[in-house]
Amino acid sequence: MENRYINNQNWQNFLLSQIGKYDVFSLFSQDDADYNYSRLTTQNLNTSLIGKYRSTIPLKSFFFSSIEKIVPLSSKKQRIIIGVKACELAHLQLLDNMFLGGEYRDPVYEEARKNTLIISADCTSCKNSCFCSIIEGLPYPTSGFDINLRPIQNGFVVEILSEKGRKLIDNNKWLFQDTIQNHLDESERNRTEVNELVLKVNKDFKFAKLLNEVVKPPKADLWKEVAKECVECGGCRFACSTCYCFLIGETKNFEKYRFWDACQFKGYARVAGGSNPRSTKEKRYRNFYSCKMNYRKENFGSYACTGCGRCIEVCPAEIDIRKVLTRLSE
Amino acid sequence: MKNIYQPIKAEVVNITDESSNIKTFTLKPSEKFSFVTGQFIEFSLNGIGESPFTPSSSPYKTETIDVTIMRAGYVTEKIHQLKKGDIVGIRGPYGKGYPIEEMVDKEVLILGGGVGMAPLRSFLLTLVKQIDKFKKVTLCYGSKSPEDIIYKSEFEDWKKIKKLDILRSVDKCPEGVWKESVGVVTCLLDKVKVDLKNSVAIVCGPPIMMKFGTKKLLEVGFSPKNIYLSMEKNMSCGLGKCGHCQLGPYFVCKDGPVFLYDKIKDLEELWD
Ligand SMILES: Cc1cc2nc3c(=O)[nH]c(=O)nc-3n(C[C@H](O)[C@H](O)[C@H](O)COP(=O)(O)OP(=O)(O)OC[C@H]3O[C@@H](n4cnc5c(N)ncnc54)[C@H](O)[C@@H]3O)c2cc1C
Ligand code: SF4
Ligand code: SF4
Ligand code: FES
Repeated sequence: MENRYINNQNWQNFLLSQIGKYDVFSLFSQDDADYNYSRLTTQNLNTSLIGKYRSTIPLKSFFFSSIEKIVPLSSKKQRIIIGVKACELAHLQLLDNMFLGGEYRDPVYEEARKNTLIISADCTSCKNSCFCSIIEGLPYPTSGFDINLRPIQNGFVVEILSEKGRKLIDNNKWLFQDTIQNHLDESERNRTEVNELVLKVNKDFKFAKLLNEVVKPPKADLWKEVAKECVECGGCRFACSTCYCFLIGETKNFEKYRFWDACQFKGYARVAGGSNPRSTKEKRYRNFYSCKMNYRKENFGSYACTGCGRCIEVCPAEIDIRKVLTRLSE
Repeated sequence: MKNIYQPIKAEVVNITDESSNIKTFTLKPSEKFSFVTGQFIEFSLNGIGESPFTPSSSPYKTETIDVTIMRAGYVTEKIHQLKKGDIVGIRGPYGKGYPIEEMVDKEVLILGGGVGMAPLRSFLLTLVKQIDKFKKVTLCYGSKSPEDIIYKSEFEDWKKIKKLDILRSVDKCPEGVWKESVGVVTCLLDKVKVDLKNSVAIVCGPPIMMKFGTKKLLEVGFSPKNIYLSMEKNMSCGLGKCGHCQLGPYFVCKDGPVFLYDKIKDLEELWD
């Protein structure tokens, strides 16, 4: 992959020159431990961050928002999102499968995707809930971005993947320099370190090789026990960027909106006459694991969980997907 | 960019009362609209909501389409209040229809219950149009009571069609009112003679009827490879995006609604 080097000062200049041309979203520190995306302005530029790990808000919000108009269509402004992490790029790939795959392309999602340039970044640490490295992932991006930043001392190694990314760099050539071997070596060491950290954080969890197989047997008692504490808030599904379920609602003039929906809600699958194929909490809970590990693997070739750990953090009942997957694997 | 969620306008040009809670609405789409029998549409009422329905008219009739709708809840209640001349939205057609080609030179057994007769009417009219292509067509139709039978007047015409046998049952009725069978629709299967090696069965009706209908067909000797079911699930988008209609790894809206029983028979959630 083609790469460049940029120092911190030039990076700031680069960002400054993009404000106004694009809607630029960057990570900012939310409190001591967390990050969130906000719009970059000349005022907050100096507090913007690349982030050590992923944000609290799921990336899907940019492409498929919690509520949005789907009829009639409206156009979206060109934008850049900075600081996207590996697990989130994997999320996006899964959403692409759903929204752009098959016979119909979702025009709202497609427009948002088309108008967005993604500048991702390697993780330089991880949260206690992160588990990418034990579920077919890695804490650094290898695909799915336009530009990737590999933080090193005093700057970044900048990887260029797409045509869009190349144009952006070319338009600001003077800010970038050639990479030297030392930069790359330093970055490789960082990558290894963070990967080891993720493995260390997750040393107590052991997943079966084929998670799609372990969710198949009914195991009714296990699901009953796991779902017992679930309060059906749907938080885990909303926080998850691979969850794409929505419900369409109507307003005047045949305008239509869609809202996030979740298979965890009781009314989700109910049909006229009141019968409900997933009438119990444990059936609904199990469905979400089947969807993520089995159905999506069957339909699109990969698990619909990338180990971002958001569902773990958000759950008021403290249900940890890693514990559940470990139990299923036993 | 084409908006897959955008309905086209359609005018309600006729309304027929079929029973106490079922009406047929004849719609005239503002643009060309065609479908394959068994496919469905999303019917939208301005400011109210959308619901999926299967056209009940023949796909050969292209000026207008009929939808036969049972009053069952919020949206269908409002649909029943529509008047001639009202404008509604429709989008589609969606899903996979009945594989008519697979039925050529075979006996076709149709098993229907209640408002499940709606798609089956469209299917039947499709078969009738080219009846010479099939060995024989048998329609077994069950309803709660004689008043609940839909398409009452059309049955009289259908009875005259050669190579088409019609058997009907009602769950219950007062003595002397009904000359045909009494009992749940599956009891009609004891009365039909089929060449099992060369037959296909098509089932559409309420979930409970689908379950027992399929069971009975298997008992009678039908192979799972010759039974087609119209599955009903909660739907929102109708085109494979929103997740609502998931049935195991399938989406009923795009992989169905018509499924070969063999394909779905091992799914745990099948009859839930
Ligand atoms: C492929 C398909 C074809 C159908 N064809 C016909 C037909 O030809 N004639 C007919 O009378 N009925 C048909 N139905 C059933 C019909 O769609 C429901 O009766 C109708 O959606 C109920 O809506 P409601 O708002 O009146 O009911 P409510 O119970 O008030 O529903 C509330 C909400 O639940 C959802 N919902 C409830 N039941 C269903 C359901 N069965 N399918 C989808 N969403 C549901 C809707 O999104 C609705 O917004 C069909 C269903 C499917 C899936
Ligand atoms: S799950 Fe992995 S990629 Fe995602 S933030 Fe955590 S360490 Fe980074
Ligand atoms: S299931 Fe949980 S850990 Fe997996 S991708 Fe979704 S939110 Fe992240
Ligand atoms: S109804 Fe939306 S996916 Fe089938």
